[in-house]
Amino acid sequence: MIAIVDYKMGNLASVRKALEYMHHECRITDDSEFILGSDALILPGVGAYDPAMKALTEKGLDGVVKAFAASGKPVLGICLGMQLMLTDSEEGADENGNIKGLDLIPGHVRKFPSEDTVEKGLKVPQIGWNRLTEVTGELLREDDYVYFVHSFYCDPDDPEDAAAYTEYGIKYVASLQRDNIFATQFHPEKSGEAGLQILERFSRRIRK
Amino acid sequence: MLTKRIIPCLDVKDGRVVKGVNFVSLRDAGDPVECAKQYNLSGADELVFLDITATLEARDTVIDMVERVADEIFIPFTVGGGIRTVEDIRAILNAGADKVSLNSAAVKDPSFVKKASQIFGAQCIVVAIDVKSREGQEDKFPSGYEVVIAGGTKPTGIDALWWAKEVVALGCGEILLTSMDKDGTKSGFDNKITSMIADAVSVPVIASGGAGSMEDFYDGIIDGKADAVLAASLFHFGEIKISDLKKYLEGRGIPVRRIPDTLDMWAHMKKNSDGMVAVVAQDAVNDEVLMVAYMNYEAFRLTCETGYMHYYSRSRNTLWKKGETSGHIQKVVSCAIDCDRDTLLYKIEQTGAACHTGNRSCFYTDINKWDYDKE
Repeated sequence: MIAIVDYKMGNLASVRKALEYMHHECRITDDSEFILGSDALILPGVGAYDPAMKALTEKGLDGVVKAFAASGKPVLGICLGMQLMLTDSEEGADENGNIKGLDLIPGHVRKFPSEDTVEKGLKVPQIGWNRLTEVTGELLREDDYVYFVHSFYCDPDDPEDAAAYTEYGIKYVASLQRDNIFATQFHPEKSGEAGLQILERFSRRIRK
Repeated sequence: MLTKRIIPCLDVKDGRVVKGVNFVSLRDAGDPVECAKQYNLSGADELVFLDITATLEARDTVIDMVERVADEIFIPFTVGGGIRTVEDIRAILNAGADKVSLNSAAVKDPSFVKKASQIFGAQCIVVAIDVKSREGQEDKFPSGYEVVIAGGTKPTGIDALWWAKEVVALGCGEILLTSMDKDGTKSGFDNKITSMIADAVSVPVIASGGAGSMEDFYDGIIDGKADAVLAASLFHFGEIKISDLKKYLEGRGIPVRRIPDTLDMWAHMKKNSDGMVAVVAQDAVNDEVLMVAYMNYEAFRLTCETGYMHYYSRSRNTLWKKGETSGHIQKVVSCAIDCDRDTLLYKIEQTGAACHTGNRSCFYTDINKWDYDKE
């Protein structure tokens, strides 16, 4: 059973439908006990950082995700879900500094620098299909094209945590992996057959 | 590098595709799900469904269609046509669409764009802008183009470039720009207004209306500066195949999404209820059938890449290379797919025995001599 964490940020149904299409049992849920008893966890998400962290915290789901990750069972963060796994984010930062994340993987979420993107004619957010390079993560394949929609990117402190890179004005981390924790900046559930196979490999991490 | 997107547009009425899609392999050319599947397999990067259902009562059919598409298609898709309220948007997004496209409703009430963007996020709000050339009337329309609605029949008095900047300021995440002068002419996109808008706004612009040749798509991207290009009947009637268009664009230096051959083949195969494909292994020397097993994608890919048979064991739930422990490996000589596209026949060179019992073939038991009681 794969628990898709429901904290009311974005379209969770696509992730559920993709997993079901690949014949994997899953449920969209905010029930802490159910989540902790599941075999794998997916933290999806579309939207802004601060409201997302608040929504997680309000339901006590921040602690649940951390506890689940500590159990060694597979965890996958998608898009905003990936960014939430880092230490903090520039998105919505104020005089108190960056907005704190779950800190499962040390690193910071940063805005695409405008001198490398907007000023060179690249639109922000990046919307569309981009290519994975320097792939080291076990869920991914070199040169896979996957679908991105985002304005902020993840900058892990330890380059060892990078599972793949892509390029949009700058070279940045498209995916993270640290032990049982996986994350993708792109949407595997919207990345065609390549994306379905990424979800398949993640699901196969579940120990039967 | 971000690729340029190729987007087929499907006109849908009462839950059925109109204008028909001319795919030979389609059982039902009017079924939006069948059409979407074909486009997905042919390499479309995204899909747009334009609902032209006339009556409000019949509009529930679009929700049903969106749900059925979302069950089986895992690339982004946009739904447009007749969206007037926040509730319309919510219903379509909840049914599984990734974006909605607003047109007349945005012109009639620009605050609708702002409201929609605030509630659902800019990334899922596309504004469709239909324009007509107003050359010589630059005093009224500084860009030389006017926004029109109701399929081009109603002028609005609004300048196209001004409107594009306005909707972006209101929070739209993408612009779908259609030239009503060019639409259906097959004389190429209107690259003048497309580039004018693409240069002026911070969001991607999808060029639409007028494509007739592969070169038109190239020009739309280079001269029109479009981030994505859209066409309807050109793709439906098979005049241009998306896979050919991508090869052409790539040959001319435009980045496009390519799917690796093994993955593409796998996507086209029919999988069983476990998501796998049955495999028959046959001795390449004497044509003896040695075994039947299953492959998932990883097994198929590794078999293709290494030239040695890999299978997926459903009982052990693991991927395995045949002969990895026993040494009884199978070297691939050739591979064929059956008429139903759901079974693979591999001719192989077998080292030792194929069967785990030590028999050369798994089919060593004559059914009449089968002592099933004792098993």
